[in-house]
Amino acid sequence: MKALITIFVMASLTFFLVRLMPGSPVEAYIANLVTQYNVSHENAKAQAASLFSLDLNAPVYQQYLEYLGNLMRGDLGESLVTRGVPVSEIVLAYLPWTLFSIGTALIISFSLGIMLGMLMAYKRETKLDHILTNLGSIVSSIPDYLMGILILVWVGVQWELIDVTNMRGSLSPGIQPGLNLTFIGDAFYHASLPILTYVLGTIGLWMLTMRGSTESTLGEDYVTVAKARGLKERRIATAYVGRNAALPPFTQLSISIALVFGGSLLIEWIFVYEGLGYLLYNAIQQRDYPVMQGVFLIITTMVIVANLLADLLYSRLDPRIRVAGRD
Amino acid sequence: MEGRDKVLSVRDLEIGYSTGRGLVRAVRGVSFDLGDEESLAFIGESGSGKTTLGLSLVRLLPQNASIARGEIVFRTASKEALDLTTLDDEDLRRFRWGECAMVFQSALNALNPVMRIRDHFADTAKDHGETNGTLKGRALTERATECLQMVQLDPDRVLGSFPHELSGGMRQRVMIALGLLLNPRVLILDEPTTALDVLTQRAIIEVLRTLKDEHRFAMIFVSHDLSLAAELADRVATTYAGRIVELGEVEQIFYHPRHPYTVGLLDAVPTLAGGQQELSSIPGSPPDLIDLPTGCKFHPRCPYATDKCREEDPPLIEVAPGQTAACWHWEKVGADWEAKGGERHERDAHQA
Amino acid sequence: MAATTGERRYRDSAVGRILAWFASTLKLMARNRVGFAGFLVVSTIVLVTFIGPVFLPSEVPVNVEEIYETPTLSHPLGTDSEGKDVLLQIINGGRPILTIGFLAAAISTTIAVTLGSLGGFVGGRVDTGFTWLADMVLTIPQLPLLAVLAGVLRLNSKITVAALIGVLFWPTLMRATRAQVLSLKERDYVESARALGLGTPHIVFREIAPNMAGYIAINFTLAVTASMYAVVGLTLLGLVPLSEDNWGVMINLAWTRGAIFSKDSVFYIMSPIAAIALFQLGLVAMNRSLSEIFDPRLRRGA
Repeated sequence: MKALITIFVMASLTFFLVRLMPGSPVEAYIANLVTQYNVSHENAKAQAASLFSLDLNAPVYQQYLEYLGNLMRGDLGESLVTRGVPVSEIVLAYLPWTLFSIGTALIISFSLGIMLGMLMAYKRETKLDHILTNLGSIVSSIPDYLMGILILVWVGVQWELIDVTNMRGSLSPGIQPGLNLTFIGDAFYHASLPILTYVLGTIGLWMLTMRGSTESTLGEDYVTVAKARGLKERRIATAYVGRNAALPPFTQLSISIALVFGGSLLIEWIFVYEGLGYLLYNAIQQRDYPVMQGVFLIITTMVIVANLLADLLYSRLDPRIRVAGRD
Repeated sequence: MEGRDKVLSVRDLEIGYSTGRGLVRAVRGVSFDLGDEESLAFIGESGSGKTTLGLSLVRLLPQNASIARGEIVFRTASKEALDLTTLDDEDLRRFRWGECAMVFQSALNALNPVMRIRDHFADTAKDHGETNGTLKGRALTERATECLQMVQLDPDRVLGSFPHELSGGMRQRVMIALGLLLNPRVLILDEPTTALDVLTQRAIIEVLRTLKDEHRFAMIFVSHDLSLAAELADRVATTYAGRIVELGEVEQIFYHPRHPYTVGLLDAVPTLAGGQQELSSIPGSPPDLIDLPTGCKFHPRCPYATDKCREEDPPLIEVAPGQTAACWHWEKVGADWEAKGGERHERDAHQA
Repeated sequence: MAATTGERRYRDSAVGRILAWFASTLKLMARNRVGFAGFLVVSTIVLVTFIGPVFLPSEVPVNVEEIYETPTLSHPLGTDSEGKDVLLQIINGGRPILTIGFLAAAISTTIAVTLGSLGGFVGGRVDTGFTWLADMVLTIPQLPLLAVLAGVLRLNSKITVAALIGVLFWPTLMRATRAQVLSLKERDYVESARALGLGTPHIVFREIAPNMAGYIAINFTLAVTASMYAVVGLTLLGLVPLSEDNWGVMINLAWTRGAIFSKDSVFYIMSPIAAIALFQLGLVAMNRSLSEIFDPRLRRGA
């Protein structure tokens, strides 16, 4: 499917970037070893080979195939900075936090957004509607990472409402992961600011889209007929209006997913939240190329998977687009 | 009317729409009674106010419309008289569909696209639970099956489907079936066959005819299609510019019309059988409901118009037992009609 | 009232024409109050940041005596950790960001409109190919990719940065353009152009494109917002080694110098953020005016 092809293309792209571009990291690494550490070119190549999981002596296409093969096996190379530690291990340690924070944030943001959007549509042109519309516009104009900084500056420092230093990291020291309340509570505590930032960054989109689609759904025949059928107002609002109006915003989910994963790079850095974004940032700073490559690939894969899930969910929600026979 | 029980009484109903250009007087003083097993057809061109009339009976008029005067009295099974114009929201909700169901024109988008047909039935039954004893589970399925069979649909196929999986004609029939679910006393059908192909039209008409013959409820049809009235109505009212211009039993209207507009409508219907005849249509176009002509509203298009017509708007005059027409010259209209060979129309009507 | 020859000469001159154009633009924008406000904000910021530095010293004086001052008359927005006046920095610091923003938006708009129009009009494999490409680019999380590229390559020219951003942001606009083209394709004037045998490029660029002018304008402004997001983001990460002080660098410095966590330096932190946010807000508001101008159905009143 398209998804697999995209991943494939991305993987290849990364390969070319890392390996083939003039001044590529591999070359740079080798050059560095040779000049700074006086390692022989052969040895330098060997080290690079093991680090990047590449066989530098073989012809390019073979290296490429080997690279792909390694990928399939989950071998992403080894970290430059922390020697001997496979990238995949590092990534797996950071991945869950990003998924957790982004997942929770998207669920909250979407649900809240469509509820507010529907409210705004029902109360069109009233003060509430105007206030919410403008608020939504303003909040969505501010880049999410700046929002994060704003939260830090105002809520944390100026007004001293939250102890931000304490909230750094994804988990308080000493707490063990497990399915108990302390762990879950602590995880939420640490994730709350990033989640808040993601929510503020995306909720405007849902609100405004939902408002528009609710407005047009309200004019649909089946809503008028539902009233003629003597259905209760609440039932009409949820099952007839809401259910149908929520479909267009849902299609915007894929855009949000990409945006949010992208923003995680900065937001996790700002709040010192130990997720993939944070990992990527550090890797870039330290020029830890294998990790950079690995994390980037994983992030892209996550986005693609998330989009697939969203598509699947959508086909469950809208019976009109289910492919015949796949029900 | 004979001593049948009246289920609906409308008196002097006036409804207007406020638009940017002015007040559109869509219904200008309509009065009629509906017997509890009678079918009454309102026939007229678009803009004659017939749809507005239908909507007003279930109080589903759009925001910019209002009932200026008049009363609509509905008699329930327990002989209680409900003034529909003053019902509060909750009573209105229960009244809708429970006592009186309105099936709209073009059911293409009348069903919730994300819900199955059986859920539509369940919804309707559930929200009317208090008044009817909640119909659910097996009882609901049985009743829904019954209703679907009444409209000649296969319940097994239809109940589990989504609206987009059904054709336009099937959806229209589902709407009628839904309308019958709660055993309403009155069924209102707005253009039930418009926007459907000829074969489906036939099917729907058959369904409606069977319903009429076998079940005990009153029906109101609103249409521009005279032949529908010929097939299904007991009484026919022709409407023009917001008023009833002729009202009578179906045979009286078809064989002995007394209003020029009715005559025009009858003449305009070409017949399949019979020899070539001149096709005629009523010259001119319907009046602007904001800026109506003086006197009789039909006079600009009427071959019988005189000064009196231009000055005075005729009321409904009794022209025969059970038949009224709003025309100063109804006698002349009648004489011309009988002379022209009303028989030809008789023969054609039989073939319909 | 007949115009004198002098007046007429003035009016017809270049200056006169430009002023007339300005006047009509203002009048157009003024149709929507919010949009007009946005337009004012945007134009003011653009003017101030592009023309202001001409009149002001490019090197902001360091004054160790006045670290982190609160706003006073001589320093309306306070000073930073080196005693440099914040307002001055703000005025100086807008241009690099805005330039890259506009440049990148221009690049992505061009790519999007070209691909979208051609694909929508020509259809078939070409169209499928382009759409496919757009979908792929859309799935890639832009900021991480840019960050990785920044780490791997060396980004030292504004054009490179703008190009990189532009190359990543075109898919959404391309989809929208394509949809528009598809609907316009069936219109009468296109049919007649086709009947006249005018070639594809002619039809695309001379018949269809002008009708999408409004659409393109709106999406251009949105592209500017998106590019600014990317540029500022990259600068914050310290990945864009532009030497000048710009708004992004200001925030970055505030972060690295710990200004975020001290109470006194609020204005230093808030000023660039406010400037960026204000500009974005202005663009979004301006969009409302643009939508009204170009979509007659949305115009209120006659």
